[in-house]
Amino acid sequence: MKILKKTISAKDGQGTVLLRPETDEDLWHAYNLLQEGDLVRCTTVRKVVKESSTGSTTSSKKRLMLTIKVERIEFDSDVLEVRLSGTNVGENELVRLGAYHTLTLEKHQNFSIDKDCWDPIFLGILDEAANPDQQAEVAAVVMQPGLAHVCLITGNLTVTKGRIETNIPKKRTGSSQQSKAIQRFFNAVYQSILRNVDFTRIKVILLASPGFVKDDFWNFLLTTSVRQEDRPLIENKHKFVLCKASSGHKHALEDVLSDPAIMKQLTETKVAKEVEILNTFMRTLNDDPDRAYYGFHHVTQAQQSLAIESLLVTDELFRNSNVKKRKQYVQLAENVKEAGGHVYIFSSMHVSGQQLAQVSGVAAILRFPLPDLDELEELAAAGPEDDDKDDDEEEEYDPEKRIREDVADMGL
Amino acid sequence: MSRHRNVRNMIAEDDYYDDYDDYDDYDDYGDYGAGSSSYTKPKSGSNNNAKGKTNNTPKQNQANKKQPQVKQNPKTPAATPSPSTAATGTTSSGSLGVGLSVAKPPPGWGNTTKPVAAAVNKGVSKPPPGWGTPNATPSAAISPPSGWGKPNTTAATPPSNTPNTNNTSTQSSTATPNNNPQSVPVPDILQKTCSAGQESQLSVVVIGHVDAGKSTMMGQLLYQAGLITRQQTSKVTTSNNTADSTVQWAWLLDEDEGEQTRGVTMQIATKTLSTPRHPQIVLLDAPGHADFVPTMITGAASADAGLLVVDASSANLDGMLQKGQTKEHILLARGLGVSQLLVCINKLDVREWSQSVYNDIQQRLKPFLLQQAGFAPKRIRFIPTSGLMGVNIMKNANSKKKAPPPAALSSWYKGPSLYEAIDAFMPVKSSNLAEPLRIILSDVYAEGKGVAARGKVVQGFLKTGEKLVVLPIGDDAKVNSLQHLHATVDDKRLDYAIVGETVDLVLTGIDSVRVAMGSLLARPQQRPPVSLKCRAKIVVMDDLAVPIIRGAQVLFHIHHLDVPANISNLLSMTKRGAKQQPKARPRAIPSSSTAEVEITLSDKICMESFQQCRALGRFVLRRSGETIAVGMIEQVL
Repeated sequence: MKILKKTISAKDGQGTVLLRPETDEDLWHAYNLLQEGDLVRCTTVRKVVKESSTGSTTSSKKRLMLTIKVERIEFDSDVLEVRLSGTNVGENELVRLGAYHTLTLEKHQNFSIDKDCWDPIFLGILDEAANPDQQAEVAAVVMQPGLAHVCLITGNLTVTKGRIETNIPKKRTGSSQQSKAIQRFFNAVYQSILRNVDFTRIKVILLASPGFVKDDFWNFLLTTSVRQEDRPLIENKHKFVLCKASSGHKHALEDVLSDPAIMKQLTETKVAKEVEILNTFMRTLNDDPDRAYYGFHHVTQAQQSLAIESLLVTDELFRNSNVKKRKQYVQLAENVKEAGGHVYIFSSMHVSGQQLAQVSGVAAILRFPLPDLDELEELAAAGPEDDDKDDDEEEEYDPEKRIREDVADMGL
Repeated sequence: MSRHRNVRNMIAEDDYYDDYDDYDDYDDYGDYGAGSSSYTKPKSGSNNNAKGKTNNTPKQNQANKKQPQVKQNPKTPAATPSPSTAATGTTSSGSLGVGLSVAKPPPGWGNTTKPVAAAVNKGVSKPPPGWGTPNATPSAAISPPSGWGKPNTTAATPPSNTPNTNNTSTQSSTATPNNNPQSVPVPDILQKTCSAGQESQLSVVVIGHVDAGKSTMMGQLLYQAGLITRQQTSKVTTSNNTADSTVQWAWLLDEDEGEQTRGVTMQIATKTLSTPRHPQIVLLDAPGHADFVPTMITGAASADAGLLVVDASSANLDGMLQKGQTKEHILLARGLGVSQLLVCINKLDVREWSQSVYNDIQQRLKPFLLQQAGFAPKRIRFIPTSGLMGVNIMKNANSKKKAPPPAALSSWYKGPSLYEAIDAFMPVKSSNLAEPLRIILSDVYAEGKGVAARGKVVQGFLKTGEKLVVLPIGDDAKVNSLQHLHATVDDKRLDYAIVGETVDLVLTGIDSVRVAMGSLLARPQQRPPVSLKCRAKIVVMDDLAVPIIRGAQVLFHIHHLDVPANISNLLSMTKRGAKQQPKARPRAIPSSSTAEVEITLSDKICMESFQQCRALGRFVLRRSGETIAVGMIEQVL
């Protein structure tokens, strides 16, 4: 992402930033930067209807520059676009004020964001977006007989480029149905790799599966690429790494990425780090449950004792449309940082981030055990503090509410 | 006002109850989970029960009075002891129970898969015809198969009551008048089969750690039993030189090229076998390698009995239960409905047929099988074998094929051979055929005009030509032809498949891409719920790397499907063995506990509560290639 202009008031953080996204990654950052109520200015195409004096109408498509006040933000991971809809706030001779319009943020197209307050999290995202040097791109294929996912993994995104699901009959005496089906399946995966993986940008492509599917597929790939003279594959053979996954479902990527041998090759990628820290959290939860807590309430309690060593948060929580909630999380992250802890912001586009989101989106590994946190929790809940109740994701409240809260927190 | 509703409610309660009271599996399961108290009868029954009592009692009596007419016993074959019906009535508690036990459908799911446990719980090992007590009562043919808002409620009403059907349809939106094929009685020919009780099919899954010799032993068994000819075995020798070639017995089952080159079973091989007591046995040879546990699950889920092969040759017997698939397979099989287990202590020839080795392994395995896995003591048997040598596989085999038992073995072992031991498996009683039809497809491929599929009938019966619905997709398909795996099936009922049988079907009117492994076939009026969420009880394995927390991402294995899912809510948890109250809403579920959780799947599939259909109510949760829990669905949400 190129930051073309940045005018942010040091006093209250109000200001405007002009950006140009250059990679898919940048669009994801843009998505994370945006919040309801921001003013976004960008060129767009709008159908303009003109009415002549006789009453007949002509409509034409016009390219114009519009400023909208954002009401809804969407990230489309399939085509990699950010769509913003809201009301027009800038003067324009063709579009009246207050008219609704949907902007699409695309690569290589400047846009500016005007915010009331650029808080440290936003500034962090800007910094990260401006320094893309640490981004290694990895492609991964997880497969099991009859099911495969072809994914691209970048710093903040795991994009499923292809999902192949075919039916493979079982073995039977004297039937070639199965081997035919397997060939068909492999061919589909092969085509998907060929189509979706840009070998000039990718450092490593992981082939992962339980059992021998990966080996069979690897052989298939070698012979087929030679036969069909698919140069990209032949020339990039060395980039393939075979590894073990527990299944062909997308979340099996987590297994792949937590494999130490694979990790070593991917130390640069954010996702490897995320998976590692998430695994640490899970292990702690098992071995020393008093040192691992999740859920906003527990974590804030732990923070108050300055016990947090690592804070794990999904970026979903920072995209929260509820400004007050968002502030709480920003505050929490800031406090942890001040107290010398590490804050890991997980991307909800990665399997690790999705897993964390399932676990309420916020978790903490503590420096020292806090066995009485459960009790504290109960005490706090006993008090009539409404705020607590709102954010409590723990035991005292009925599960339905908890889920609703979670969903709201995730901004769904 | 409507009798139907009441009847239906009653039935639901009763089944629910019955399952706890009389039927087996639940209690067994409790043992397995070492007595979770979350499952006690009062709790689970209470809601329905209370409702039933307040609203329904008067009506029940009506229903009771109806019962005699409904029974239409003239057709009852003598094999069904009517006293047994009465007996059930009395054992059930209270007036409620008495009324209901007659009206209710025989809880066939109880008996389909777990006959053994039933017998054990009752403390009697009765001969087969006895212990199916309420089973196969002809009245079943007209009584509704199950409660809970199923369309077949109409069945509770004798045809004379047609005016009432309107009521029914208003209550249950899915119900349409005259919708119940079961009210069209089960064909006579099937009735006979059912009461004869002999012809039901037995599915045996072969399990054990990788390289324990499962496939080899099956190859020997099929050969000695005369199902494979000398010529066929010559095809699977390692070299063409007949003089010194060794037969690769396992290749008789591992027919896939990849399996043969790698020397490991990767997929379930389905073979058939006939023994005097079990004319129809389906052998499912499961892979033992850790990577293929999902495949093994699909096999175990469709099996009634298990054959565990243990490698006696390895010096490290202690390690056997600590790690490896022996333990995992046992627990999975038990959790998926395998209630009887034959343990083959294999490769004993390597240990010079030492009795002490045999006894040692037996001693090590037994406590685990009984206490942790919760098998009934009577349902576990041990035999010494050598699959490779072909020793103690089949006694009466053709002497050319059979290897004579070495003196070292025959000096101390007088028990049955493998073949005889398989013959001695408890038969699975054909349960009530009037239950809603459920077929789980295990294999699908396009062939000619139709779609060829292999599936197991887990409930009800099927006739060629029937129109069924393929779920969860919801397309219609016609059963164009039906083929039994066994040639021994009675000629007259070739067109029928009944519960317990694995059959090959040809479906027409549907595209092959719309049918997949794990699809379910049902009659259009009797669809099971298709849902994303369920409430379930899970038994968590020992030695979890990571506890289960809310939101944990798991793979939900149910019959032939594996679906990504997450544990969306933790309701309660009890540490296994601890005699405490379940902890409500725990923060995490650690190893070795039982818990009640809500599970949300990523795709809609057919699920039914365990009480309604066992095969559709059992599942396994796995994560990162590790089995973390087995469970059963309590309620589909």
